[in-house]
Parts: sequence; structure tokens; C-alpha cells
Amino acid sequence: MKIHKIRRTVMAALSLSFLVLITLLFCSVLLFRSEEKEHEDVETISGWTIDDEHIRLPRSFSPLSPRTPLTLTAQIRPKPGDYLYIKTVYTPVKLSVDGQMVYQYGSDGSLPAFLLDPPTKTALVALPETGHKVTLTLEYLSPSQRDTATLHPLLLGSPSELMIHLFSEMGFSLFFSIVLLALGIILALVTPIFTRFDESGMTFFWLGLFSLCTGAWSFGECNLTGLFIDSPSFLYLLAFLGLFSLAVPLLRFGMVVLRPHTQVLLEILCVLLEFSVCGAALLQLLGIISLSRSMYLFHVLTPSCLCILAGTALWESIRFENLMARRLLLPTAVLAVSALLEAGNYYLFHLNVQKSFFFQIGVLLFMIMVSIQCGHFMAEMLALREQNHKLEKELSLLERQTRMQEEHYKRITETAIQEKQQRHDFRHHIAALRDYLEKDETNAAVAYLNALSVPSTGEKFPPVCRNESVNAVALYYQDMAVRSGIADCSIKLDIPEETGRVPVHALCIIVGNLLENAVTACAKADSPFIRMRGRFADGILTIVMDNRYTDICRTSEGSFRSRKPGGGTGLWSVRSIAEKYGGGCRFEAENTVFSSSVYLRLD
Amino acid sequence: MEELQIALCEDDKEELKRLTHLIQDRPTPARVTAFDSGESFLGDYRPGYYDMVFMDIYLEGMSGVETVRRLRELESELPVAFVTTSRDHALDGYRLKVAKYIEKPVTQEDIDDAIALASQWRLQADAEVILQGKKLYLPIRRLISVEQKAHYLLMRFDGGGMEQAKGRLDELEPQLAGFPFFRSHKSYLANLSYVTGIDHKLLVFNMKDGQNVYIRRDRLKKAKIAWTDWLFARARKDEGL
Repeated sequence: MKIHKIRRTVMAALSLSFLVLITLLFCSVLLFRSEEKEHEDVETISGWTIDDEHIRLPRSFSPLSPRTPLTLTAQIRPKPGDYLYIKTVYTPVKLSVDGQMVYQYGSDGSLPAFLLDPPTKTALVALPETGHKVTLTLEYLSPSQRDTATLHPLLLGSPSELMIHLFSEMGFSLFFSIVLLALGIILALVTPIFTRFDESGMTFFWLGLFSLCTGAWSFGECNLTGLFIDSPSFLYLLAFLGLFSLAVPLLRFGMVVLRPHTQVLLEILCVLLEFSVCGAALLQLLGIISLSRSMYLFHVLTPSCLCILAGTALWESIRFENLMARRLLLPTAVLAVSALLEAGNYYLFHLNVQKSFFFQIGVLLFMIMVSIQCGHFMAEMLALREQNHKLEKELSLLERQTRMQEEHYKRITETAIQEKQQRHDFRHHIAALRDYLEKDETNAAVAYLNALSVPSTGEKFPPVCRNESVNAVALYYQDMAVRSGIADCSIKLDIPEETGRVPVHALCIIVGNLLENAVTACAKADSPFIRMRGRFADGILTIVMDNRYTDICRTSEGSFRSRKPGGGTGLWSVRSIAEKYGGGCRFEAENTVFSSSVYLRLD
Repeated sequence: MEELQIALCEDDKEELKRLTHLIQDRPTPARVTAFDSGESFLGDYRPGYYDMVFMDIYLEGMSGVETVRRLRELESELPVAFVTTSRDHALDGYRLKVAKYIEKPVTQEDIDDAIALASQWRLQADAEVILQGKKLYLPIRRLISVEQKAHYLLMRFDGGGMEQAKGRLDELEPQLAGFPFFRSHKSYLANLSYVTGIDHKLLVFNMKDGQNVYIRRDRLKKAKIAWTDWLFARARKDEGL
């Protein structure tokens, strides 16, 4: 046992360190930047002036009343074929080179009216080939939904260089979102397969939906996608609705897996979130409050939900020793912490990392851990189903066998009662015969005798058990044993008349099967013996039997039956009955003695 | 060895005299306490005192069978020998776990067999153990469970008694080898002969006195095997297999 445990721990430690090492290796390769590459061919445009003031981007201006114009200018010297990478966040913009407009986005009427502010947009803008210094003019209009305008830096370079630069910054995010989307779709697709087996297959659906939501958010949020998908409104909806709703499937997942005692709390949170998402969508559609503004509500709601879920898992695992809660504790805690870090970074730390970086790492860890757990969970469930299925089959077989044996033992009991009656009658017959003979009525006596069918007078044994049915069965086999030459056959069973919840035929089957096996096993052995004892105490009936045996014996059908412990249908049905009534059994063979031990609860 | 404590329930004065002689005319020192009815025997009964009871089946008033049935409610294991003129009550004997069935007239050989059982019973009765350097006699057969509480061992006995002694389970456990005790938990030792079942959910042994004894999760399987082993061994031993 211990070695097994140690081996498992070592294996787990090895695989974990393997995983970590491989991850480190890949990270170090991917993150490595050679010295020469430091001088990128992508130039971040600096030297902006606004109202004769020199500034650097990114920069936020606040407070601003809605649609305040902000005009920036800068001098650049583009090489032939250079493009500009421009990113705008909720601000309409016009970009001019030497007074000639080359790019325009978000002006009134170019987007659905209910969007209020133009969604985040990234674009590559071709510059006219001039070969000399040009003046860039950026005309921003501040957002209407917030009093802050954040202006992002512009990059200059050839398209390929720009793409390489952008991918190195946001490639992970894009890749991650695509993986999550794919995972979500796959999980949602395979759900019907699992739900067909078991209701709890729904866990996969909720997990898939969570993955899908998170993927949608990352996909919409990632600035790279804006370069390929020319529909900022679509990405905007994708990002915000994904972000808002991602906690809903997670909570549902938690409820299915944990089955917590305090389900109400999660239930309420879930409904609250669902209403909030619907409300936010409705307000956006009516053009009252944009999603980018309702986001602040979800910045509070979502991390709170995740923390409460982790808290529930903790409470369940401590208070109720809920196994699934213990398994989910670490993943949910990781998720909650990453959400808190993400929110903290957004409002407090302002670390120079890609937005949603922390949460993405959290989600990645969560998905890996939960997928492993889910695999475990399903495997366990399938094993349980298999076991139940097997048990059902065994039980139906057992029932059939039981019915047959019941009939058999009923006949034995009836015969025993009949013989008792016959013995009783016998005294009357003697009296009648004496009466005839005393009166010298020989003919009448002969006639009386002829009319009688003489009862078979088999060898009679004293009772071995208070329970009449079991007694009849035991005596039947004792008789059979003595007739097949097993002189040393002693049976003493302390089995009460009242057998509680165990039907008496079940006990007959145990005693009958054991004795039948013993008689068969003994028949060809040297110095055969059968000794059976029964002890009833504290509601537990223990039946033990020792008998001589030969390794293999021939059954009446002529086939060989193995006498190894636990084998044979007789022993198998003994085991099934014992286990059905809260007991168990053991069969051991040593040298030439076979020991059977059974216990079961009558109360 | 201390003298054996024998109870004798017989309402025939001659028979009583005869039996007393047969019991006392032996090398094993034995003290006989005589009763002329089942009622007086039960009225005077103290758990753990006697090593053997000889019981006439046909007593005035409460029959011997009924007396033993009531005795079994007080002490389930004490050896009892039925003394009788017929085998009619053989089946009651099985039920009441009667160790011997002696037919009248009683012979010295019958008595020798019965006294041998009593001696064996006495051998199992007390165990001399040393706890923290102190000698202690434990009425082991009546000891249901031992619990470690700080520096003390809490011992629960059949019949409701509790005792405590300074010591550790780790030093007591090896001294009880040979008795059916099972260490189910760091702080618990259970007498398997008082176990009536295992609760897999609560992880406890249910004991005869209605109390529970904790089982460590990783010892559950072993606990079950130990208990069933003991059940089977007892059935074999008690019924003379």
C-alpha cells in the first residue's frame, strides 16, 4: 500500500516537474530577444504637440466634456512603403498627412447609432510616398460615455515589420483566445455524448460555455483581431458580452459539480448576473448606456462571483468534507486570485502588461486543472455505472437462481413435514394392528397392512437448527452426506425462527449451497468430513464450515468445476446474498481442508 | 492462579451436594456459590465475577433456559453448562451459546471438561499490563475500548464502568497482543468482540454498548478484515470447530 502511494506521488511529482520544465523551456525560447533585434524597424512615433505642448503617447486627458476636439501634430520621415499602425479607443479620429486626409474612423453616421461611441479600432494606414519629412495631424473627438480620452501611440514601419511587432506583443492573447473558443465549441459539442450516460455530463457544457465566453472576450479584446476582422462593432460586442457573461456558466458549472448545501447563494448570484447582462445589453441597444460603461459594474460583479465560488468550495470542503469541493478548491481559488489581480492591475498597479493577461493565465490554469478533474470525474462515474450494471446483472441472475432454489428447498421442507406426519400416523397404525391381532382377526390385520403405503423410514437425525426451514435443508444434506459415505458430518446452527429482514429462503440457499458444495467436494476425498456451525449474536449471523476437499471435482454434468476460493456459482450466490444483507464471506483452501465463512445482518 | 469462581444453580439438595463435591475434589482451586433458583442467581449477579455457571434446566419458578437468556443480556460471553436429564433443550443451548451440555448423572469427566473451560476463560479474564512503569490488572474481557486523552488512557468497560490510567496507547497495544484488540485510530483501541458493525460513512465501529469508536480512513479496510476475521474465528472456536 505504502509503496503504491509513494510510487504515485513520485509519478505525480515527476510529471509535474516535466510539465513545468517544458513550459519554462518554451517560454524562454519564445521570450528570448537577441541583442541585434533590440533596434526594431518599427518606430513608435514620438514628439507630438498639442496646443504647442510637447507630449508622449499613450496619454489620457481628463476631465473632458463629450466630443471635445483634441488635435495632435508630429513630424515624421516615412520610408517608402511604410504604414502607420493606429489604435483608437471610443474616440472618432481623422488622420491627415500634410493636410491631406488619409484615414477616418468613427465619424457620425458611420456606425450604428446605439453604439454612442465608436468601438475600439486598430488599423494599418498606408502613407503617401513623399520621401521627405511630413506633418501628421490627428484630430480626435473625446468619448461621450466617459470624461477621459486615452490616446494610444502610433507605430511606423513596413507592414511585415509591424505585423511581427504586433504578434510578438499580442500573439499569445490571440492564440489563447482561439484555443479557448475551439475548446468551448468542442466541449459543447461532446456534451450530448456524456449527458446520454449521465446527467452530470452537463458539467462539460457549462465548462465549454465558460471557455467560449472567455475566448470571445479575449478574441474581441485582442487588438490583432481588429486588423483582420473589419467590423469593430462586432468585436466590441463579442468582447463585452463575453466578459460580462463568463461568470454565469462558471457558477452553473460550480453548482452541478459541487452540489453545495448552500446552493441558494450561487443560484441568486447567477440570476443577478443574468439580469445584469440582459440589462447591459438592453441599455446599449436603446442607446442609453454603452457596454463600455456598464463594464465598471462587471468589474465588481465578476471577481466577486469568482471569489464567492471559491469561498463556497472552501466552505464545502471544510464543513461537509465534499470531495468535489476539495478537488475544485485550487482551480477556483486560482481563478478568483487572477480576477482580483486583473481588476487590481486595471485600477491600481497599471503594470506594463497586455490587458487581461492575469486573467488569461488564471483561466488557462483553471481549464487545465478542471479538465484533468473532469476526466477523473467522468472516469469515476463510468466505473460506477459499470459496477452498477454488473451488479444489476448479477442480481437478476441471482434472482432466477434463487427462485429455482426456493422451489427446491420448499420441497425439502414439505417432505420433512410429511415424514413427521407419517411418523405420527405410525403409532395409530401400530395400535390398530395390535387391536386386530389381539382379537385374532389376522385377515383384517393383513388387509389393513395392504391398505397402508409403508412410509419410507430413512435415517433420522436430531434437529440441528431451531429454524425449521433451515433445519429441513440441513438435514436433507446431512442425509445425503451420510448416504454418500461421509460419516463425520456434524451440523449445529444457531439460527432463530425469526430471521428479521433476511428472508428465510436466502438462509436456506446459503446453508444448502455450502453443504451441497461440501458433499460434492468430500465425496471422493480421503477421510471426508463436514463440520458446519452457526452463531447468532448482536444481530449478526455467522456461518462457518470446514470440509475435506479434492482440488477438482466432477459435477453431475460431467464438466470440471474449479474449487478455488470464490469460484463456482454456488459460492458466488452465497457471496451475493451475504453482501446484499450487509455482510460478506471468505473461502479459503488449505491442504485438503476447505473453509467457508459467511456473515450477514439479520437486523 | 486465584481460585475459580463457580456459580451453581440447582434446586435438588442431593444433586447440589454431589456437584459441589465433584467440583471441589479437583486440583484446581474453585469456590462454589450455590443458588436454589434462577431468580436468586440473577438477583446476586455481578458482571465479570464468575468464571463458569452450572445451570439446571428444570428449576422451580424461572426455568434454567430463561435464566440463561436473561444472563446473556448482562454478560454475553460467560461460559454456561446446562445440567439436565434430557436433550430436549439442545437447540436452546445453541441459541444461548451454552458451552457444555451435561446429562445427569454427572460424571467427574463432565466436570473436568467444564472446569477446563472455566480455567481457559479465567486466563483470558485479566491481563497484567505495565503502564508508565506501573503494574495494572485489566479485566480484559469486559474492556470495550481504550481512548488516548492527553496523557491518560480512558478505558470503557462492559456494564458502564469507566476508568483512567496514565499511559500511552503505544505502550498498551503491544501488551494486549493475543486479545482481539484493533488499533483503529491513533487515539483509539477497540475490542473486536464488542463490535456490532462498521459505519462506513461515519468511519466508526458501532460497539455493543451503543458507543462508537473512530476508525482512520486509511485503516477502514484493515478494520473490516480484522473484524470479520475475528467473527469467523469466534464462530469456529465457540462452536468447537
